[in-house]
Amino acid sequence: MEFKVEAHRIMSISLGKIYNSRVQRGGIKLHKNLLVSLVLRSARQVYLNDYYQSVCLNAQQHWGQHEEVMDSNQAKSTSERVGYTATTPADPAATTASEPGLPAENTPPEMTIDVESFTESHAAAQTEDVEADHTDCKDKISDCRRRQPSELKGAASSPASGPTAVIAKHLVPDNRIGPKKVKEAKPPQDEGGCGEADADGFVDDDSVAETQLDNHLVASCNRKRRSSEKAVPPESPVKKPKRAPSSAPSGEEEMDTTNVSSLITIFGSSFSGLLSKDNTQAEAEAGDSDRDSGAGQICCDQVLKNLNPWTTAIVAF
Amino acid sequence: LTTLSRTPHTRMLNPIQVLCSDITALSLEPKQFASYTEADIISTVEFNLTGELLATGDKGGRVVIFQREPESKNEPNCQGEYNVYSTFQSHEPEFDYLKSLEIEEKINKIRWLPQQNAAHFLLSTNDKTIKLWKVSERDKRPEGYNLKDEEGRLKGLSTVTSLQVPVLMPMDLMVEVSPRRIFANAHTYHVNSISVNSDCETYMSADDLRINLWHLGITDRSFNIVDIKPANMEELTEVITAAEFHPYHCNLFVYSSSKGTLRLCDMRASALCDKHSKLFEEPEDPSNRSFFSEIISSISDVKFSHSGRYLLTRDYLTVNVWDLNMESKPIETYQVHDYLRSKLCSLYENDCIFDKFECAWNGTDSVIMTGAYNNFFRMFDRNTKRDVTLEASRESSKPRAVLKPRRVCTGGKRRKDDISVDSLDFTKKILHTAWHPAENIIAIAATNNLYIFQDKVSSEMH
Repeated sequence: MEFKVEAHRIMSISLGKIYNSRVQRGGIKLHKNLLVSLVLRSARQVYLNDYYQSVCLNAQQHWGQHEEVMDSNQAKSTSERVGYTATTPADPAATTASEPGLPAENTPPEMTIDVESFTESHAAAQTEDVEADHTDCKDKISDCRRRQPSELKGAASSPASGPTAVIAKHLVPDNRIGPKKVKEAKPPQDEGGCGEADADGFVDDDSVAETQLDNHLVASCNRKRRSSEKAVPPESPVKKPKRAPSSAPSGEEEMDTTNVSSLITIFGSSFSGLLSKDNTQAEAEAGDSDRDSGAGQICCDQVLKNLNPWTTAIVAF
Repeated sequence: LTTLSRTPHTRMLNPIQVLCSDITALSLEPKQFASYTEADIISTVEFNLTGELLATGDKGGRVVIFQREPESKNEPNCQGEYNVYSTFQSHEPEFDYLKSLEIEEKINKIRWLPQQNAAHFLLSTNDKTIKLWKVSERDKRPEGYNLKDEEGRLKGLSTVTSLQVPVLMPMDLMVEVSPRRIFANAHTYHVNSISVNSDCETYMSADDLRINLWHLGITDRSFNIVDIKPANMEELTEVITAAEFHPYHCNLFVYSSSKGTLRLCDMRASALCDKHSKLFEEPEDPSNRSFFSEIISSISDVKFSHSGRYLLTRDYLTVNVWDLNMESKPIETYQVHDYLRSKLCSLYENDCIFDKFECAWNGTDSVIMTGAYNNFFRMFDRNTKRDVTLEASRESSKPRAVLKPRRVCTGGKRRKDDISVDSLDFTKKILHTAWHPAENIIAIAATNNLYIFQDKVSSEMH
């Protein structure tokens, strides 16, 4: 748990650095931002690792009770687009259209988004190879980066791939639990070569609080790399809430979010409106989620604990 | 505002030995509590190939060149001092309107060209543009024009009664600096290194993702010889941090990366040297893994030894010596300030972990030097494995003062004058150091101050 707090703190600091770099004289420093993004990703993996461990524990406890709920959700979601495209709260209209009257279906996106605040999903680009995007771009980059030395040395996976492997181990069993609506997710290690273009692509701004953060991560991550070739992107975390949620989030399929969302479905709790478009709403609706069922509340509380600092981090910058 | 103080410097590996010299140019020293602007912060230091000249660049885009005075016969104990030779504005702040980006005028690197005539040439670069400067002396001027008088005013034609041939008369020495070439618009990313080839005709400039090869005489085109930019920028995993040509093999160069790897490339192999000839990489120590492992393994500087056989690299906590013949790991590793390893999180917060320290060889490749915090710099003797920590500060630079070795106490028995890790001043960092190519003279840039230390004893032995 200590790691989680520390990781969280480091993530906030890293975001601050990325944000500040945009206003620095001389333009965005590619090298520094790359290093910051690596730290951000390391911290995030540790955080997710801890998070999933606790989530898995809860899932195993409640799995038997909620299996029926999951099946019913599966049936209703057959028409749903593969992955999370339709289930992202950033596009509530689409969500509603594809899954009318399914508050449970809203759960995965909320949870997804929360989790995705640490991963980098919600690519604007629609992509066919959604299933290739089980890890966020940073995970891929992590794998790529960690594989490259291995490839060069011809050695097995380097020790640096430890955290990724740990997360994968946690996620693989979860995947089996997940509803069939979600395409079979592959563990990060199974991903293709380093060069596989993550469908994350260039991230459009979502207006959901967590996705804003998430997008900020990706956007800043992506944009910082393009910044040298493009003008400084006009968006900033402050502006994000004002953007209309018109951009259709194509829902990057993240293996971890897939599983988490399925877990939330299992809990049967409702996170509707938990992560709204607005920063301020998020906190207000945190109270709503408190009314969820006990099982879900465990996760919910965890989400909430994480939510405020993130929100604070966003607002602060 | 730079201060130049020549103070005694302890001989390598024998810090007790006292070396004396007078502090020179007191007028150049700033007042004790004088404040400086950010523009005065020295950003690069470089001796020329003979050591006669020393150039510094600062954040304000200025270059100051110091020249070593010839030895005075009157004071045989006083070796030649370095005095200001020339000052000029090399780069100005620019604005890229297309990208709405300001281009800093900070001088990132200066490299001297081998001298081929009476003039001196140097390359200076900021983030985007490299300039070739000619530094020449004028100590004569023509006098006795027919149509102009001494002040240059036109003479009345009626006053000209005879013709004379102008004669060159001695004048006060004047140092003229003029830009001879401007190599612009070749770098999308920030230039971090320039290196002159041993063929004296070409040089390379490296930015975060690309390395370009130039001809010194041609400014409108350059060859791209390394390009590590991925097709999809999301896949970016490493950047180029430094690059240098081999000292005498004009086809070889090395570049370092943010992942802690070195790549030796041979330009004879192909036009685009994306495929390295050799890859130098030390396997990561899994026991040292932390959030910041990647940052501290990023190489901030790489230097070929004078012999051309070894490479010196600096990452955040160590300096490493590599043998070109062994790619698997460095042959020597020296801890610069390992006591910072437990403080990486704090150093990440205050951005110190991103500081890019440089490293330097001495003329015989037997001693390596690098900077640290609290105005400390460190020297390691490769033969005896002894090391010393010295401080570049005004207090330690008094006339005839001894540079006392410093020690950072990391717990355990604390001696007098030890400094604890917590009382280190992380705003006083020595990022840029240079070693005279032949003698034991070092130049240390401490924020806005330049210190030049000389080993008196060894120079007397010459």
